[in-house]
Amino acid sequence: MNVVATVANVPRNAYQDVSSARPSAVEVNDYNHAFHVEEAGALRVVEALRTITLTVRAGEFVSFIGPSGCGKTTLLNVLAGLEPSQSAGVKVAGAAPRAGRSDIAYMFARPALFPWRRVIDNVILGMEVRGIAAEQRQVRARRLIEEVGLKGFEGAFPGQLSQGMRQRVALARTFALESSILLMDEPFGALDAQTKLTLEEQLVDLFEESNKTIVFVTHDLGEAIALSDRVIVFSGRPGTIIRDYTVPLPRPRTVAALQGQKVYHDIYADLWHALAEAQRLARDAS
Amino acid sequence: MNDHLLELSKQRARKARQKSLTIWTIRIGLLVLGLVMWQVAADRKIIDPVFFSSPSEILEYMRQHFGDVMAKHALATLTSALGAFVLGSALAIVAGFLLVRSPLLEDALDPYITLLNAFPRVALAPLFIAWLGIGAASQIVTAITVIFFIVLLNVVAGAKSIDRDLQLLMKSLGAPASVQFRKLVLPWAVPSIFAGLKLALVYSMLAVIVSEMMAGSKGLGAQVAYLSNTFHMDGVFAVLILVAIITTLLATGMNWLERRLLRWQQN
Repeated sequence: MNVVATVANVPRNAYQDVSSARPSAVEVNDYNHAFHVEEAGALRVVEALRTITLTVRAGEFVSFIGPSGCGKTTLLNVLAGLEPSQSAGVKVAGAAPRAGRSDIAYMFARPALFPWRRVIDNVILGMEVRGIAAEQRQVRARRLIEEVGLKGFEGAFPGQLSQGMRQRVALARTFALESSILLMDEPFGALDAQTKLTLEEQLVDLFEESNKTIVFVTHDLGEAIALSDRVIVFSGRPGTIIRDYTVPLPRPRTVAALQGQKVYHDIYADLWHALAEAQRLARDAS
Repeated sequence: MNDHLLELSKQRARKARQKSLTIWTIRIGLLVLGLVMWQVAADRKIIDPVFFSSPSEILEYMRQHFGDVMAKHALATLTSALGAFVLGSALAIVAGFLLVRSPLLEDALDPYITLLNAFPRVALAPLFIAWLGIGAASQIVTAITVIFFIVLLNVVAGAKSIDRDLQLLMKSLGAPASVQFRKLVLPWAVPSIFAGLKLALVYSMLAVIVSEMMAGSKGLGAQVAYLSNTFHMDGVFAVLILVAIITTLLATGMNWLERRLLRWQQN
């Protein structure tokens, strides 16, 4: 894990910086995952992921996209250690995944805020659990609250905030951990378009000024392209990787400005066809 | 524009005041009406004053008898009730979290908990009086058996309703069980525990008074039993009013504490 921190001190101003010379943050080698589902009293095996091989380099922003039920969230949860991995083929920063590793931070689709904690104490929560010194917690929390645009709301309770603001608190809490690898499960999936754009912008800024690796699950293709260095397209169940696409857009990026660029729309059309194909195959198979 | 808004907010405040005035007029009016009807009915012998007494007689009884002696009885009842409340609630909270911690234990004990919870536990009072003698001990034990299950079930319900996302978050942060308990399980269960405690306080008074009525010479329950056996209905009503005032004050105190502790719930 120390390797990640030292190597990634290079400024991140162009996507080419993410070169193969960097060590891998995530390595998945020929990985299969199955669930045992009880159905009418009998156990049935449901194949979720099949022969997944994937490398995410340190400092890279990689999105998983695919039809619902394709296992992209399962894979993310395996990386996070929230779902036990079913073979030795998965390595995160060189070690087997385990929930609670301090170099991994996980962000959920829902804000998962503690309703009795004020905004600042929610941001602090993760650091508190991870045993970061009290003064440092305050400094980091205040800085991140400002960066996600919630200055002035430090003392508010989650119940007083809008959905978008709550998710910003969750974003601040995730970044405050200063883990080198962030795993995010559709963090903006439940937001309206306007709020989503704001949060995507903030995430891109936070990512570009840090040296973190982000694995991001989404069902929104535009979001995947705008944020990522690479987009991994999954097929329907059982999930296999049908496309590993390097996004040829330079950094730093402005999500809103991308909408006006032809190259963005070309990428979108290209990947949309891949996704539609995955969807069609999934439908045919079922 | 600002003047307009100011005027509007003044109007609203006036309306709110008027509304609350109306509500209070109705409340006090009903009370006065009831008391007047009672008094008139008793004066005209429509109801038998021997059994029903009358507001003026009750007031007269209070004036004559509510002194040191009644205060001593009230104190005895209150001491037993609060003692049982503190002990019973503490036991129930600890037991509740143990049950949540161990689903196996909960499964094993489930039929007994259901049975004992459905059982009219005040009916155990004579047993405890026989075992522990007349006095505070048997009253407190009776009250504990009554409130223990109320609080226990609320603790279990609260601690089991934790948002799954929050649990997963704690897991992803690598929080050990003790930290999860302190930072998530316990605070999450507080509203539910409080709901149980509020009930328990009132039921603790109830159980102690019932126990006092069965045996003994001290306490408000004993007073009610004695006064009704000797046909002092004015006294019975006077003591009952005192009981009502005490329990209302206790409940108000709990509500105040709840509002202070659970300020985050008010949005």
